[in-house]
Amino acid sequence: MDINPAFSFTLKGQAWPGFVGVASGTFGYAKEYDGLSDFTKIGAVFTKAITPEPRLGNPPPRIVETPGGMLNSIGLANVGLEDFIRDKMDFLRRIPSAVVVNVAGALEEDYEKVVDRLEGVEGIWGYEINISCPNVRHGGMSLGTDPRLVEQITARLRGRTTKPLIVKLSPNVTDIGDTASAAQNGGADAVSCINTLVGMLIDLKTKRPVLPLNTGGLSGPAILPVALAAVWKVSRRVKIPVIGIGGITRWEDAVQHLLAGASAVQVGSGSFANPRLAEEVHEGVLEYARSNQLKSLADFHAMAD
Amino acid sequence: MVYKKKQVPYTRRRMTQFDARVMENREVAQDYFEIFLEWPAPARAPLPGQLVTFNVEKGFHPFLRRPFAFASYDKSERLVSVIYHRRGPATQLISSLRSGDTLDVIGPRGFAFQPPRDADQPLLVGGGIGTGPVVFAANWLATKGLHPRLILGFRHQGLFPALTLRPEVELQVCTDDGSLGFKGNVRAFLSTIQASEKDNAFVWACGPYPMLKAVHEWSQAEGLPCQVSVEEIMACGVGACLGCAVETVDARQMVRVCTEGPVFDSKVLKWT
Repeated sequence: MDINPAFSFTLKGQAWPGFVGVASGTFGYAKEYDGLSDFTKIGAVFTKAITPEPRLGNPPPRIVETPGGMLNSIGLANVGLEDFIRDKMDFLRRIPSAVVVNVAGALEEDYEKVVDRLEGVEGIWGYEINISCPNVRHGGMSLGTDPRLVEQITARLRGRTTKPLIVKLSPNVTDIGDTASAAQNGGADAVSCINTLVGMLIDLKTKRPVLPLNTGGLSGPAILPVALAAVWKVSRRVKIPVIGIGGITRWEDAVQHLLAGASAVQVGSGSFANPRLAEEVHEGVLEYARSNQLKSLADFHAMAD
Repeated sequence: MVYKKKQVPYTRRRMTQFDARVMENREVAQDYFEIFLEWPAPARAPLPGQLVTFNVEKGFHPFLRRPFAFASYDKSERLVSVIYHRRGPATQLISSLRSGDTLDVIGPRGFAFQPPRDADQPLLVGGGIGTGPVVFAANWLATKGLHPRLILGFRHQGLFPALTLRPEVELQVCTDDGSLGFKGNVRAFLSTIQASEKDNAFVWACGPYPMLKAVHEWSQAEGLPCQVSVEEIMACGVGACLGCAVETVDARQMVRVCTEGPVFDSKVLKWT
C-alpha cells in the first residue's frame, strides 16, 4: 500500500491511510461491503452508532427517497456494545482503514460506558461522538442543540480517552459555529461537519407523514451546499480540523469540501448508490491535487476568504 | 493502548457489482417489462427469490439503487431476467434501456426460497410484480423433477405477461374481472383446491402485501408450510443501512429484507 503522508488525515500522531472516511450509519460495520469496496482506499470506517445495549430501531418504513437525496429514520439500531466487540471488531481489525467508533446513548453515562469499555479493545483509532440522538435527561432534546451540553459531554469523554475524539455536529441549530466552538472547548480533536438535516415528506393518499415518526434525517446530494456553508463557517471559527461530510456523490464534491476548509471528508449515503464512491473520491481528489499543484491536504486551504 | 493495524493484504473478492449488458428489454404486459441481462461467468448464479439492485441513474435523481427479484436464469446462455412494473422515474428509465446498453448491478443478494424436505407438491402463488420470482421458482423446481402448480393473479387479462414455462409447470391464471382464467383473486382460487391436491404441498408466494397476508393465513389454516418473498424500501441493499428492516413475531428482533430475506417463513413475520 502506497500512502502519501501529505494526504493522510492525522490526529494525535495517528494517521488514516488516506483522507476519505465512510460515514456512520452508511457502511454498517464494514463487513457488509466486503467484496464490494476496496478498503485500501478508504481512510476510515465510521461504524454504526454504538450504544451500551442493543437497539432495534424505529418501525418501518425507515427510508424514503427525496429529490436528490433520502430521509432516514433508522433510530440508532445497532447490535450493542458487547456484540459489537465480539462479532464486528474482528473484521474491522483486518481491513487497512482506521476504525472510528461512533458513540451514542440516551444518557451521558451511556457515552462514557461505551468509551470506557472500548478503551481496552485493540484496533480502534478513535471515537466520533453522536450528539444528535435524543437525550432522555433533556426531555428527548439532543445534546447537540445546546453548546453548554456539547462542551460538557465532550469534556467528560475527553477525560476518559487519549485517542482522537471527534464531535459530529448537527446542522439543526441556530449557529453551528457555537457548537463547534463548544466541542473545541471541551477538548475535541476534530469535528465532523455535518450530520443529517431534519426533513419530512407527506403521503397524499394517507395525508400523513411518510415516516412513522414524522421526520427523518435528510442526506444525499441535495444537502451539499448546506454542508459546504457549514464547513466554511466552522473551519473559520475553530482551530481543530474539520472533517467535511454532507452531499458528496462525486470527487468534485469532496474537493469543494476541502477547499471550504475541511481537512478530510466522509462520504455518506452516496455509498448506497455507489459502494465504490469512497475509492473514486480518493482517486479523484489526488488527481485534482496533482493537476493543481496542491502538495498536501493543507494546500487546499490557501484560498482567501 | 497503541493503535495498530495488522497488515493483511486486502483484495476485492467476488464479482458482485458489475456493468451488465442489456440483451433485451421488452414489454410483456401493460406497463410490465422483462429485461434480459448478460450474466458473466465470474458472477454467482442467482436462485429463485434472490435480489439484484440496479443503479439506474448515476446523477442525482433517482438517487438510490432499486431492488428487483430475478425472474429467470439461463446458465447456458449466461442470461438473467427481471420483470418490472413501469410506475415511477426509476422504472421509466429502465424501460428506456436498449440492447447493448449497460446497467450497474449488484447481485445476487439475499436468501432464496428453500425447498422443504418433507413436502414435494409446490403451490406457487404470485401476483402483479410478484410474478417474476414465482415463475423463476416454478421453472427451477421443474428442473428438480417436481410438478409445480403456479397460481397467478391479475386485475385483468391485459396485465398477464407473456411467460416462458417448462412443461412440468401447471399454470392457473386468476383475474379479478374474469377476463382470463378463474374469476376472482388468488385467495378465492385457493379455496377451490381439493384436499387431495394439498397432500404434501408447500406454498411459496410473492406479490402485494394483502395477497401475501391472505396466502399466509390460508396456509396456516391448512397446515401447509409457507414461504413469502416480501418488499421494503431499501437504501443500500447489502445489509448496511438497516433501512429495510421489518418486524417479526419476536418483538426483540427485526430482520433485513435484503439480507435475512427477501424470502421468509411466513410464520416469522409480524402481519399487520
